Amino acid sequence: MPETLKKGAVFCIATLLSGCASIQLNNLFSDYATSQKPVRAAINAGNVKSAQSMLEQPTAGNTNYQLAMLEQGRLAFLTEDTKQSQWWFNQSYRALENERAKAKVRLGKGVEKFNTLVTNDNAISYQPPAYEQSMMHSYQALNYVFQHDLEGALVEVRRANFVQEQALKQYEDELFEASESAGIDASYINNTAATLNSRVGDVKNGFQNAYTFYLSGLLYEAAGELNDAYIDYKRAIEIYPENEYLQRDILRLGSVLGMQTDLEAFEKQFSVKASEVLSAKPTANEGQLVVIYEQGLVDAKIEKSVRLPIFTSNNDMRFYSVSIPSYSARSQSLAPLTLSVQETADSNTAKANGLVVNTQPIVNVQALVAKQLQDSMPSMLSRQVLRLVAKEQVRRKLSKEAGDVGNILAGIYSMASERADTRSWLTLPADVQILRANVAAGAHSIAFNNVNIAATEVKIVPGKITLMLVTKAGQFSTVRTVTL
Amino acid sequence: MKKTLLIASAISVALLAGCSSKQVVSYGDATAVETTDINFGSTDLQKVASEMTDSLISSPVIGSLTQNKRPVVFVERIKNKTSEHIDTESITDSISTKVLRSGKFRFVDMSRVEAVKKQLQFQQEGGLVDPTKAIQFGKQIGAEYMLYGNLSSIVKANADKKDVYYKFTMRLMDLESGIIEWADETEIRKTREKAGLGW
Repeated sequence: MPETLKKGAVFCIATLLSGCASIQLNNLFSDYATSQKPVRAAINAGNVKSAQSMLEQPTAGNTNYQLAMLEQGRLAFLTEDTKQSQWWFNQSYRALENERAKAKVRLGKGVEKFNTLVTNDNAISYQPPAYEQSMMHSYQALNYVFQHDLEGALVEVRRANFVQEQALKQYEDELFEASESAGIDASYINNTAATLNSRVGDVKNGFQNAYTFYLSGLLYEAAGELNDAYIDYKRAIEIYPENEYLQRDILRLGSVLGMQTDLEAFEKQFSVKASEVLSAKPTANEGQLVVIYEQGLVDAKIEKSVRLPIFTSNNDMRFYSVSIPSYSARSQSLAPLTLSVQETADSNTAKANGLVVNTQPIVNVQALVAKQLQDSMPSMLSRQVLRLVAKEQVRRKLSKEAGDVGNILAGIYSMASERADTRSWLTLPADVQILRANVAAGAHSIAFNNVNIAATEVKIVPGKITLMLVTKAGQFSTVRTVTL
Repeated sequence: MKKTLLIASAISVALLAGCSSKQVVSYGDATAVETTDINFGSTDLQKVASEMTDSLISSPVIGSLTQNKRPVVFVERIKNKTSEHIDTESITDSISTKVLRSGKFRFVDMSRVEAVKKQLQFQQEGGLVDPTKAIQFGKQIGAEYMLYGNLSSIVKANADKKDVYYKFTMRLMDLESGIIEWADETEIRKTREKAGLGW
């Protein structure tokens, strides 16, 4: 009788816990990146509306809830449905805030951990990594900008910066911890690590995103808060020192604000000279044109099988096959955008040759996501090991109690449930590039020389910044312009 | 065994059913302290508005300014420099209402200029209003003072705690001389500590 009672109690608790945690099993046996393929194909074919209809509807309690909201928000952004996009991103922010306000030790998380032990990492509810959160706030800031609400945009920019600061703090803590406790040896997954390494390049961490800082600086500059703008440009250059437009912005603002010591240090480091920048200041009847060019769609993670060595209790080594997320070695090629600015003259004497300028990269999202994956690999692998042990226990128990049938069933289950966690925000661009040029006030026609986008009319206001957002992914393209 | 199972599942179902309860709607005190979350809330708005108005009305300089007349003031706007989307117009509304109630100042409302223009245009040109009784353009009184301010915040957080500090600054400027006649600031600090154990 005590045995029955014990079993009954266990059953009771298990039912209770699972009842409240609302475990979602639908995401467990399919991987996210594969299921999103049609959506990405539709965007690349230029049909965002049908991509939208294919997206998963965000439902609270689903492990992909956060992710689904980000994808919805981004697609609404691409269709220039500012209000809808703003609503989704706002929902996403609120869900994140709720998550952050929750208790330190959570029973629900315990259940989730238990679920991952017998299934796979897709049972963990998705938490957007810092780079996705900062991109979300950047898009939200642009949503406000397109509604001519600079103050609201600046609120979003501050939130983005806060996310990045928090991530940096956390990252430093984790580095400290990691050096103290040696995890499992990751050199066994060399083949995976190698492709990751080549993608990561010289990205320092997976969350610091120069684009967000640049946008922040730009909006502060438009609001006349030059000191704040200067600080954000400086943060951006720390992450992406090669960008010449950024170098110019720093030298220009630095000299306006009288940051002499800074200027001297930067001049040694930069390829641009301060005197050159100062002589190219916009005149009274010139405005600035800033182009943000979003290119392609970020690569999706792929499943990769690796053989993980595990020491059994008898201390002999056995290899177990597991799948982990990775990226393919070949990444898409990214190119700068060349555009020519031509004055639409009121008189018939159109100028023969206008200004021809190129964009320069400010963030490589591909490298960021690869770095993010690399950073989360150790914890992912240690979960994998625990899972192997748990599944092995199940197999042993079943083979003992149900013989060969049990063994086979357990084997099939292990294989079917062995799914890598390939979740990430897949509608983000592959990279973002910027350009800034002084352009005479008045109407201009902007032609895109090396991509297939129709020429766009833009009106430059003297002394103001005109922001142009160009998005291109496959056949899809949009150009949006706003005067800040 | 079967019996135990049955009992166990019955208990689970009963407990789960207990989780869902009916919604309750009730009226509360509008000035009660609200601590639903750490974001800028009604209590903060009320605190800021009442402290600023008290300070403005009780200031000795304002006393001498308003001794023999009721100066005309316009409220510029409160600049939101926090990391939350706050309706700062609602703060200025509260403040101007309170100040107006004190009877020391008169206000002109810049946020309704367009509506006023439209109405005057209708009276003048609509043809429906008796021209002798229509309100004339160019009779309004210009503001002598401008009330404006900033709301800024510093947010810090770690795994256990979140701390938000708000600083609200307000100034009253003499539009003719450009002199700041009055200024004050008020601060709010809110801290949220996470629960130890939860779902």
